[in-house]
Order: sequence, then C-alpha cells, then structure tokens
Amino acid sequence: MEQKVEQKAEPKNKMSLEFESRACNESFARVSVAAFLAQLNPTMEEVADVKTAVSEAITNAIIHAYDSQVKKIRLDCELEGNVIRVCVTDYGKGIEDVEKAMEPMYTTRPDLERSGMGFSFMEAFMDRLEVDSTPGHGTVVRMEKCIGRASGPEEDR
Amino acid sequence: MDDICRRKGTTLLIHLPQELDHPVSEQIRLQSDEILEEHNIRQIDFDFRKTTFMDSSGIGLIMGRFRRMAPIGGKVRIIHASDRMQKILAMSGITRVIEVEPERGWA
Repeated sequence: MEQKVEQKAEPKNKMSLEFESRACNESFARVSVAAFLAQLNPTMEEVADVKTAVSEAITNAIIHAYDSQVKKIRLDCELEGNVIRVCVTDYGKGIEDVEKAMEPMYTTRPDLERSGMGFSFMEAFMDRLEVDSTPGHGTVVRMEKCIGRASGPEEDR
Repeated sequence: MDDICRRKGTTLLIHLPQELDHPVSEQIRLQSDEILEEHNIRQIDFDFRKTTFMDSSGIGLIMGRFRRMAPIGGKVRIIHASDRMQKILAMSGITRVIEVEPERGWA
C-alpha cells in the first residue's frame, strides 16, 4: 500500500536495511534512521520522536512477531520533500486483531512487563501510523512524519 | 551494567543509562528483581540524570517495579528527569501513580 503523493514530483530518497531480530540491534536501527533523517535538517526533538517510534516498532517485531527468536526484520525509509516514511516489516506470527492490539495498555505479554503502549507511542510521535498484518505471515508497520512543522516552541536546528 | 542498581539501606537506586529501551529494561528488571528478592527494599528511585532516550519499555519497567512495591507499602520515585523524559512519562500516565521530583534546574 504505497502512499503516492501525487503533487509536484519531489525526488524520493530511499534506504533499506535488513537485520536480525536481536535486541542488541535496536540501538543500531534507531541510529541508522536518525542518520538518514539528518538530510531533512530535523530538530533534536524531531530526531528523538522518530527514534522512539522506530524503537517501538522494532521491539514489537522482536518480542511479539518472533517471540524473541532470531529472524529477519526489514526497515525501509523514504524521504520525500520534508516527510520521512518508515516501514518496519517482519515475517512473524502476525496480529489477529490489529484494532485490539493498538488499544492503549493492551498487551499480550504482561509477563515481560510490557506496558502495552508501543502503538500509542508510535501514534504520539509520528503523524501517521498504519498497521497491516496477516496472521502466520507477518506484519508491516508504516509511519510517517513531517519534519519542520513547528507545533511547539522553536527549537535549535 | 553493574553500576546501575545500587542499594542504600532500604532504598534501591537505579541509575538509568543514556538509553532506556527494551534490552536495557530487561536487564534492569532482572537485576532489580534479584535485589528485591534478597533485601528489604522500601523505596526505588529511578535516576534519569544520564537518560536522553526512552521508549515504552522504560514505562513497563517502572510500572513493573511499582506493582511489586505497592502491595508492600513501598514507594517508587523518578528523579533528575529532563524535560523530554518528563514529557514522555506524563504522556504515559505513569505520573498519576509515581512521584516525579521536579528537577534539572540548570537544564
């Protein structure tokens, strides 16, 4: 479900990363997105927001999709104009009820002390969130954020 | 990682590292559980002075400690949290049950 922005043709810049679903790779994945995002001259706050959302999506893939087994996670990023789009794909067990999963505080892993706020955080820190899942096949989490839209006090760029 | 959990009497001081994410939260959960099992702890302080990044794993960690302390009348506090960290904590609603010391006057 490509989101085609049919305005004046803005060049798209893309990157793709595939890595093993190990918790030790989370930091690396966050930083790689932040580094790619740097081209849009984001504020520190905006970088932190995107990193947090990415962290949530990747943690979900590691813990929920794969039950902490070591499999593949795919991270696709796209820059178009002042927008960053991040897509986190796993090929794991999938989500039976996406709506339920996205309910704040809902978690299937209270034993791991999960807060159930992963999707809430993604929604709070990004402008758009879309989750598609096929049980038994995997999940795709798409997020988007406009960089440079000052919704609060001006920050240093 | 060894320096993170420190016991001072009946207080467990958790000096959170720069990034509080899922793997870090897991480790701290295990370490602090060990201490809670072996010692009489009445208060847990989460020291955020080094922390610049946090995701919902951190919320889960703090809530988990709170759930362990509350039934025994124990207390959980958050100290030295930066503005951004405080914003995230407030967003999660955790500040309704856990004390956040106003901090970082110099930041």
